[in-house]
Amino acid sequence: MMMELLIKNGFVYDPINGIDGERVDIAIKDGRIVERVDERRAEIIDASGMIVMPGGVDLHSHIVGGKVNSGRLLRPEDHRKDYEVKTKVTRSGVGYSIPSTFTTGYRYSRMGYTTVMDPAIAPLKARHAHEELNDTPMIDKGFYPLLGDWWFVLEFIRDGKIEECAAHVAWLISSVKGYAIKLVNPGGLEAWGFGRNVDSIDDPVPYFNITPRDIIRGLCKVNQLLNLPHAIHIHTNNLGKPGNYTTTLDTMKCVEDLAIDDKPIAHVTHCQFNAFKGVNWKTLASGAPEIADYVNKHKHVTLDMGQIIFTDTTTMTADGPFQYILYKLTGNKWVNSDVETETSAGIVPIRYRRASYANAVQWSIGLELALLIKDTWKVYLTTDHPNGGPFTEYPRVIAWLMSRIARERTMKRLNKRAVAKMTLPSIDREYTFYEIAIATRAGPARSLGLKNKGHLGVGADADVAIYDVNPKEVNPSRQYKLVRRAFRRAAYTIKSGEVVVKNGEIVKSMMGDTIWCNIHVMPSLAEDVAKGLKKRFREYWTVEYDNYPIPEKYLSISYPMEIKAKV
Amino acid sequence: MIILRPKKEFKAPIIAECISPDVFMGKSIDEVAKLKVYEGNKERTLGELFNFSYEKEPEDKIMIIGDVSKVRKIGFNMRKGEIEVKGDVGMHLGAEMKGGKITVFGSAGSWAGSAMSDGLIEVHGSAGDFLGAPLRGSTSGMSGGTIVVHSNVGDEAGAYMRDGSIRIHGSAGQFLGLRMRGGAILVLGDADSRAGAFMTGGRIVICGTLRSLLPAFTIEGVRPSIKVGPEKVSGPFYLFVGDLTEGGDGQLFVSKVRNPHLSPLVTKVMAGE
Repeated sequence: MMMELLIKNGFVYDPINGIDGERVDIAIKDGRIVERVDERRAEIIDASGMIVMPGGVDLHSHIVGGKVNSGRLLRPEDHRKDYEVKTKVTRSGVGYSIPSTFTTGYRYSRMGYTTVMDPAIAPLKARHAHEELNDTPMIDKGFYPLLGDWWFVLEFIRDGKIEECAAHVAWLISSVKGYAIKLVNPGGLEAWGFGRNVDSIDDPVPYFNITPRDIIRGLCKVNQLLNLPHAIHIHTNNLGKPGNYTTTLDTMKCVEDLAIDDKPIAHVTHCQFNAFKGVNWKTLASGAPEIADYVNKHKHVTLDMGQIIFTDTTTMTADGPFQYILYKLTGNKWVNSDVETETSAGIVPIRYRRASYANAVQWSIGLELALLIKDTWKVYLTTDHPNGGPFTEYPRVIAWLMSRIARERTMKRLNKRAVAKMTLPSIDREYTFYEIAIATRAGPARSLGLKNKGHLGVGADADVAIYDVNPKEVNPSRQYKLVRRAFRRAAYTIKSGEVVVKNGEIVKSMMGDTIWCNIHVMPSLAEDVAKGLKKRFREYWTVEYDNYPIPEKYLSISYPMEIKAKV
Repeated sequence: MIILRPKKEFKAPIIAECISPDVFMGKSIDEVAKLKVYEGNKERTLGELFNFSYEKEPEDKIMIIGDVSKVRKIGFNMRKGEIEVKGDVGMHLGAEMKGGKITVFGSAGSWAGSAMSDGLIEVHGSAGDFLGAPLRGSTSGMSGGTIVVHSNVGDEAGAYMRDGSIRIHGSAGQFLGLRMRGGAILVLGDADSRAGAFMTGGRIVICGTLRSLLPAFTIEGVRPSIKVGPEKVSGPFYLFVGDLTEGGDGQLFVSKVRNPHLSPLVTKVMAGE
């Protein structure tokens, strides 16, 4: 019989159920939140003077896959400086910005996170990604296959066959056991295969005669036809180029008319990297106010921050052409990979410096986005791990969001010319614990459409994080260091109803679910599309059509979400 | 001063980061003997491997008498004080050193002075490969301080060097000053091929014979003498600039007298052919 748990006297922050710091007892039985448990039999956790939140949900963190692994190979020095010694319950591991799989799981769990999504997997390398996910303990996880530059998708869109495209995408996501549609520099990656790129959303993709706009709109319609739980997850064109905030606005505007109700239909990810104003690196400025203004006026789009941290980290995106530019800019070692698959990718180590004008501006953009967008449900906390900084630095971002003083202290050490131009010093807003709970768990969970995650209502998964900071006594604005410390090491992390972390240390190792979408389309349509596909596979592909899908038994703990498509 | 003498001939590698004046200072002999080291995969104390004796002056000095060529990381990250070794030492001597002085009356293993930023290392014998160079993967090499080797050194001496100076009385192996960005390397003996590969800055001076010059260097002229730190070395020297594949402007000075094999090449380039 599973254990019963009762979390007593904690200050609960559960935004989805509207609980804002009230003392509510949380009862857990058989891995679920329940109405009540028998107090005499249940294990009691005394959370007096502590914060109780749903387990953290991260919707964008590069933790597995081909390029993450290439990054590990590229950076032995990253491993040397940060390693973990094995304990009775945990394995040893290495890595600061690209930790090994087990260490990734442990570190998320220590911070109270229980669900993490990897946002960019080349479908052809999905098998390897699942092998790594099988070795990532402590968290529920999943990934988004990269589809924005996949030939068949581009061809269907070129031919205006949206329903066929949807059937194909459904087959692909279900086959590779993915969760959502990811677009990276739509059209640009395909062009990169020929050493080129696209420079706006209306720049035609070589050999296809369609534009990024067509791809974004096409896949947005596909997403709606398939009833997928998450919106399309977009890494925009022109990422990392000064002046690209207009591209971001164009991207958000181009799907505006497709919105049906208030449900967001597009998620613009690591928005900091695509909110640059100015014409070159010397005149770089923040485009955050313009983007925030647009997001404040519209309901169809959500963002995540992609905050940078001043540290030595590794950038890795599927955006091959951008990574090439970054390599040219830094002169650092780099890897160009995945070009032979459905996408591309690049990896470049980087150190964000306080004294650098551009890096200081980037730092302010991330925070400005989070602080200028009024509705916290629309902007989530990420560092685009490891691109902006490793996820272990989230508590630092939480401190910046919650404390103006923390921001000012950091600004004192930044490039003076950058600070003089920033909007950030004029922003007084400070996040409350309630808003932090939205930005780090409730918001991402809702955006992902994970109904059992990100809240503590009856029936929810019993994923709970307890932090040792008393919201009635600690003023986060002044005592931000206490808050930072508390969020670094959760007092308790409860995963699926079991205590896995106590006082910031792993006390029990366990495997989480791999969440994926099993999409059902009309059999006749699916067969039609499959017939065409089989021929192409035979002619062009390196694997047989029948070998492409990954069997469900390949996943250590499979958690399919059955989805009925509209087509 | 604490004097260490090995109790036996070591067979397995020993990792002894703790042998450093910063760690020893303010500790009694008993406390020092309890410091943890690894012998192979076994945890040991210093006291199990070494005999100790104590002298009052100077206070911040460690002397090692005997062969410690299996002992790695002596003087790791040290900031002050002095280490003197009468015998050979193992790898990573004075790695990431930030100050103080290490003298070895014997030879040093590979990675001596790896990525050091200040201080002085003097090796009276030879040194292994990767002198002053960072560990694999890292691009931050030596950023200050001085290394003097009285005999020969292995390959990749001064790789990724940014500042500081290296003086080699003997000859150097291949890839001398690989990817060097600053600082100065003086070789009084010969150098093997590929000196200055991918260098973008800094200065390499070779007083002996350079086995072959990389084609990515161009001749800038002939200099009668050259200053390396406070010292003036008289030539004449060919001055080559490169590595052009990296768009670099590192300076490679090579003795004119000792390198007659370079003279036809230089004459051709200077004639504009």
